[in-house]
Amino acid sequence: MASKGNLTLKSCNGKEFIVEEKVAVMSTTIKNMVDVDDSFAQGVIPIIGVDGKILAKLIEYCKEHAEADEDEEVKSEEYLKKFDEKFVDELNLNDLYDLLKASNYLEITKLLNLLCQKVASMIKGKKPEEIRRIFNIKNDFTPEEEEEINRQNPWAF
Amino acid sequence: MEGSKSLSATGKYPWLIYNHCKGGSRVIQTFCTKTSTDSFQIELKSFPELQKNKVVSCSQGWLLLSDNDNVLHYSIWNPTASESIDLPRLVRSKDNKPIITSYLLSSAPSDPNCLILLFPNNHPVIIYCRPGDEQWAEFNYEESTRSRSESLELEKDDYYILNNPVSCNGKIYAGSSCNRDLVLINVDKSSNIHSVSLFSEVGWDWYHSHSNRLNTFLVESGDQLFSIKLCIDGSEVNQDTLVIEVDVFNFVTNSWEKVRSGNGWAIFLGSEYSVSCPIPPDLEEEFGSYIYFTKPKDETLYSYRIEDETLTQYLPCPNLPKPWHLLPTWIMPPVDDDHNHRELDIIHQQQEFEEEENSISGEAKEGNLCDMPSDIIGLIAGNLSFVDYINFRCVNRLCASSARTNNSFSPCLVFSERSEGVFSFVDSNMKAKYSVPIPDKLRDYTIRYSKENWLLMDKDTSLFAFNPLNNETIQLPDTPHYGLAISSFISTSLPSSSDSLAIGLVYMRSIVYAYIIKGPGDEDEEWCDVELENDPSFQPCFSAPVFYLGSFYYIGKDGRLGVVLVQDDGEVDWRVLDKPRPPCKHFRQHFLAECDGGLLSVFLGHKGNRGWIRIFKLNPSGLEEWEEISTLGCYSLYLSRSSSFAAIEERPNMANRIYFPRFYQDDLVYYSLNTKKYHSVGREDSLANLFGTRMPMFCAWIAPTTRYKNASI
Repeated sequence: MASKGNLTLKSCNGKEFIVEEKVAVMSTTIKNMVDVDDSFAQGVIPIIGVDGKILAKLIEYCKEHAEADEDEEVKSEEYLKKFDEKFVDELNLNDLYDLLKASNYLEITKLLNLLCQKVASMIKGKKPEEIRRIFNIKNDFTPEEEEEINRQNPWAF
Repeated sequence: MEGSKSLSATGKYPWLIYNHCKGGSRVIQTFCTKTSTDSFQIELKSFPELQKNKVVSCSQGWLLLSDNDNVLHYSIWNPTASESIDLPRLVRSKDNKPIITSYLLSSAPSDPNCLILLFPNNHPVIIYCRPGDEQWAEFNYEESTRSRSESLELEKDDYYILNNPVSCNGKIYAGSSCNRDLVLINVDKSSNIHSVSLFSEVGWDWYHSHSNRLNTFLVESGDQLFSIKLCIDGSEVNQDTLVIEVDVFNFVTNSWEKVRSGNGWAIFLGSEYSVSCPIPPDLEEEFGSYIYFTKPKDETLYSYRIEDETLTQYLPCPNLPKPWHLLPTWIMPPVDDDHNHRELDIIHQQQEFEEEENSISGEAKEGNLCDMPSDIIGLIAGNLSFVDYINFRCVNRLCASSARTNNSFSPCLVFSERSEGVFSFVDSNMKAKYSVPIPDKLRDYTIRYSKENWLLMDKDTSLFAFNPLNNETIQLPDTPHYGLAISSFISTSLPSSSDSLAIGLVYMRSIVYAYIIKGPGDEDEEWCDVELENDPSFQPCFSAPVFYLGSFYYIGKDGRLGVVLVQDDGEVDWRVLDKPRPPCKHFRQHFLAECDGGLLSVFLGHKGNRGWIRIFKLNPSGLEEWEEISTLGCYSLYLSRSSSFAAIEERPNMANRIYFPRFYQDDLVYYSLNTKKYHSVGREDSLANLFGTRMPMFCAWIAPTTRYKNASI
């Protein structure tokens, strides 16, 4: 296995990205793959269920963070915080969902936490009806169930 | 350095004068006045008029002065105009010397109705004159008040005495020594007092009774008559203000009415008299009505906001030369006319937290959050505060069954905002404030203690346990005595549990009453009232007790510990411990809490405007000596007067903090043992001290837990 080589990641719609290994192994899933099977390090790694657009986003995120991990002076904590804020603010809802699923599958823990915090911040201070509207969620409670759960909730006035 | 011999031009706020000696007997005054919300203008001056005289009343820029050495000489003086009028000398025989304790200058001397009134506390008389009179007149009100003093069954040699005189709408009112009545002093056209009449003998309603000592003030403010009661804990040092009751007199119904929001004026309470002024709109960050006061032996200035019952402390003169007079005095400069008639219904732009428009919410909404794997839903839920989590669970079945990735929520500070009719919750972890309506039956109840989700609330002797997370209330048995101040409550477990043991403690110098109840949630139970002998030198501290190693620990004013032990057979024991000795001195506030199996004490003080904080731990092995510690490890402390506890923080950057029930602007304040500085939640910068931070008078920390039945829905 080439320890400082490049890896090729291939999205589900066939787009290929050549990235530095240190960037790719921000994903625990990819790291496990190359650690176990040397052939992945030479060839192309298929990223199942992730399209080119989302994969590009993931790589953009991992690149910034991998570089910061390597050299703190170049990219300070302050800089990363700003990058993260901008990164999640520019996402639309579908990209956010796709990135959540992709970072969960690829086990990019830092990004997954960041995205979950973003979703939590969108829920903050909202009533159940508003949460359904924002996230396009259908209310599947029966009237009895809804009455019971609202009874427990003094906050939804 | 001394400034010019006159005060600066008319201000919008009164001046606070601290008297202090410098180089012998020379008296210097430090004058300070508010120039903005957080800053004060300070002038150091020496007025000969104030060196030998005490200011005892104030009206429209004129001061009534009393001779310090010889209480028989009075004058009125205008510091801005440098004018002075001598009043006749008080003539008294030796055996009949009046002890004058209340004074009134009813208006400026240019007013033809201007009167100067003196109220002795040993004779039922009013001594009065007009400016320019050659001698004092006297009116004896014993006859006018006879029927009222008989109905009060005063003891022999005990007169019904008037005090707290105040001028309002051209009339003169006074309070009475029994603290309940309002009396009108009737003056005829030639400015002679001809009678006094009882205007109202209706007592005040109390939110609750907390304290054995009470200071009452009558103040005119914006043509309205206010009564302000400060309930204090009665100790000599570090006096705690426990309750502030504000009532306004309704001249139509002749009764006092509780004030929940004021008239946009500021009231300044002084030991001899009180003044008020409209709040200049440019100086207030938030619309509200404020009461300013000072305490003996304390250079701090306190400001109470009526609307949300919060107390803010300021240090107007951080480097006050010592020694200074015990209690500073207010001087109200003449106010420009256009300030006098400020419209009261000014609409203030309240700084509301504007939710930022989410770039996400406006766009395409094809996706559904609930298509996400359930472990992601759990991760999201783990990032929610407890209120958001409760709302999130109401969204649909998947959200209702979501399992949080972490079990605990960050503690919240809860306090009542009676003027809004809500309980407010502020999250210690993130910038988030929530409110929930106060149930009608708990409207006038006060938060006294908390345990997990539960609040203990009282009003007089009535008690409720309330869970604001699910609106559940449990009425608890009434406490034994009316009118005795219960300094603190504590319970070993939740009110609903039958093995719970709750204690309320009442200090009466050489006696401590312990009210004890087992299983308070059971309606058949009653409080049992145990009288215990106390060391009178142990003064109570209105700080939360701690249940530790089977005993209830209380911390006293001096930092010593008192312990209540309830034996299995019901035997109750109270002891003041010689050891551990108080670990430090000159502190202003202290707290007790349990942390990681040890008992912790936290002491706060300040030197000038530099605050300090020290933490000590008592190890269970010895219990002999406090040991200073510099870190809390993975814990954070949540301190308040009603409940204090430690909680393990899962995120290391959130640990090693001490949270206070205080706000800097709208954000909770904590001390970080990592940075050794005060910070506020959600901000990067630090605070130098706790001055300028605001504290709700009645609040408690709750550590939310959601113990839902494992919902199938």
